[in-house]
Amino acid sequence: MRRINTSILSVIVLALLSTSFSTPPQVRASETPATFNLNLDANGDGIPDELADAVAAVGNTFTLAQSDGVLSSTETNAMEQDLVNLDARLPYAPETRSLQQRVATLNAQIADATPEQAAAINAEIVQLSEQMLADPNYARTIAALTKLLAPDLSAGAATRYQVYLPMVTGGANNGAGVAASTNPPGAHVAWWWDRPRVSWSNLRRGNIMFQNSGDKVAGFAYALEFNHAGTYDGNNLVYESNPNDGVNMRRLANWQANNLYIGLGRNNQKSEADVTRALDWAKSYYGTNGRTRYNWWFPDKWTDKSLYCSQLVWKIHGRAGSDLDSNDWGYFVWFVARWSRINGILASAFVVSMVAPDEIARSSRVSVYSKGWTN
Amino acid sequence: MTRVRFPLMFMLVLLSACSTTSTPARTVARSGYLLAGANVGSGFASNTLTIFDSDSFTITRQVKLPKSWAEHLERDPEGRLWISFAGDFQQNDNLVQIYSPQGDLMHELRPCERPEAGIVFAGDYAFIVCADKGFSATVAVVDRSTLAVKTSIPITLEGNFLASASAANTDTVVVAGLTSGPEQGSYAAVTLINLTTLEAQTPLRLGYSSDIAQILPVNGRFYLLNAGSWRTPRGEANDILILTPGTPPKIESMPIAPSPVWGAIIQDSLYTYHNPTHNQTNDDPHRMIARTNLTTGKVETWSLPDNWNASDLALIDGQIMLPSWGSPEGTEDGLYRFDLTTSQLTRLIQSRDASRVMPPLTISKK
Repeated sequence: MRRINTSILSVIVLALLSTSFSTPPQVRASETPATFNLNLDANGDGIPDELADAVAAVGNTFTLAQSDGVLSSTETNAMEQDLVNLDARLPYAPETRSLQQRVATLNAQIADATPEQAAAINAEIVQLSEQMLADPNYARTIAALTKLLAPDLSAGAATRYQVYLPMVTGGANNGAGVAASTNPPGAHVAWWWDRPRVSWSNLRRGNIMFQNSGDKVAGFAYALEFNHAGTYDGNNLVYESNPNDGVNMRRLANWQANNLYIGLGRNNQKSEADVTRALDWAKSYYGTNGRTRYNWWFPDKWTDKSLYCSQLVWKIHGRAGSDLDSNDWGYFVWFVARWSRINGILASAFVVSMVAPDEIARSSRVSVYSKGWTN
Repeated sequence: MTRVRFPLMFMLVLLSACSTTSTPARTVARSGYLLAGANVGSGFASNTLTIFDSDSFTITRQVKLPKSWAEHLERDPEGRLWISFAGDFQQNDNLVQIYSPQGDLMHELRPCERPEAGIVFAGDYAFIVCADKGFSATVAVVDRSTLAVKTSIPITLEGNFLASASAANTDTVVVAGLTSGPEQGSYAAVTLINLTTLEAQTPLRLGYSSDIAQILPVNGRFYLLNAGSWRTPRGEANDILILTPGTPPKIESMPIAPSPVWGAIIQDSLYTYHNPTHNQTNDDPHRMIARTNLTTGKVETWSLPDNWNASDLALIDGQIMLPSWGSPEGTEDGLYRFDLTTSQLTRLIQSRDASRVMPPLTISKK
């Protein structure tokens, strides 16, 4: 019965979304604003001024509209209009717009595809997203938005510090402790990363784990700051869902591998006991025999038949009584700038019905208490 | 055009085969191997098997490997090298490649999912330990002559059993894994596989603060390196768990220093590399080397630079070899020698993302 209700709900919501956004606010020709001049950057922060102003305007509209917790149709239209305007002002090459259209077409095919077909389509979308970056205006816009909306990811990526090798210690000591180290003048200098390191020491069972494994691992194309999410299950284990495995368990060491960007957070609305109870429920409900496969149709976050990574996290906390899908305006902006339209509707409508790792990380109900690289 | 090319290619293959088979036996016997295979963030771009001369530490050959998490490098009694691949966060893998001592790919197997907990050899078999989906494990028993999977042994435990390490002696295969427990911490379990019946015993729980990173078989016993021991007060330290097979199996604790993760034994000395952050919820930057006299129990330790990550430990001609990764752009990665006399780390081979080292078959006669 529960599954039927969930299924009906998903159909209704998707239908509403389609109706709501099938005739989205349009930019009339007479009102078409000028495209952004990406060369104007008065303060030299790497974020073009006109783009920064437009993003701030979207933020203001969304914040104001959502302040009373109720969205009127006027407010919804204002939010959509801001995004439409922003999209219209992005000075992308026609080829980039064609690629965005191609992604939209591909996405429409995923809903009815087999898992194998969906994986192949997703891989093609990842490839197309890389091709888009050949457009310098597109690349510059995305880099600027990443810097603006995910500053921790952008900061410190290339700095290094020096250590001395070989290292001379006080010599052997007899088991009681570690000898103090000294670095003699003239010792070989080696370079190591100097950037924020993620701190693992406060990780508790039920905490949410976010990951950015870089651009080289093809997978979740819709990542602003994080492209993967999981739940710490205690005992140095992570409970997660991955494309090939579906719902599965991995060692914490996999998340501590070379050059990964990690965020660790907790639900600040529910007690640890509430969350771990929900985690136990999830392990029982979705099985520990691999029966719950990966969900490639990201806008269907309601289904229980298959789950993607952040959907599994969202389900666990939903069970505990918290909706962690923030529908964050910054993620909307980034998503629209990256993809424009999907399935003929503005990409933000796609975001409403999916729950990306970034949307959870940006939820006010989640406290991300540590962010940084693994080394 | 194709017909013209084919004989040429055939000749090239023949010549290539001849050149590898003519490698002097001594060269092969003194070949060491360095695996680079764990940089998931770079898409495994540097996955390589490096063959080096262990007298001069010069590279003799480098073989590109598939872009997948290359977890283990092991050598079978026939001298062949087995490398297992576990995939990445997007796609798991089930690949095991077998190379000749010269580095030529001989065979590929796909015995089970996520072969990330070791390959060990006993009797006529290779035992490939797979994590599957992480809730239970499978040990694929492969006939080393035919390379056919003779049987698959499931390992299950209430809660879960995520396989982490394995080892074998002439009678027994041991598989360790992580399981669940009542407190925030870590709980490992270990199971023994009888080589005659090829059946796994019910896993034995190792208790609080156990997480086995590596198992060393010595004289009929197994030394379990416990990465989770940093949680235990020093007075009750369980850094090494010594497993003696039997009915029931016996387990003793041996204190050394917190969180040994890699080790090797030569004669009466156990050498271990310690990293209390490996697979742990811990940020302790200290890294160290320890030498333990297994007869007297005397322990000596040497500190390494803070956060200096070694991904394996081996002994080559009595010297400690540590592959290391994680420097910016990999410029300082490679195989290092740690000199116990001077406490100096010296890089012998540059290799980005160095993750495992295999010593040569013979020791130097120098």
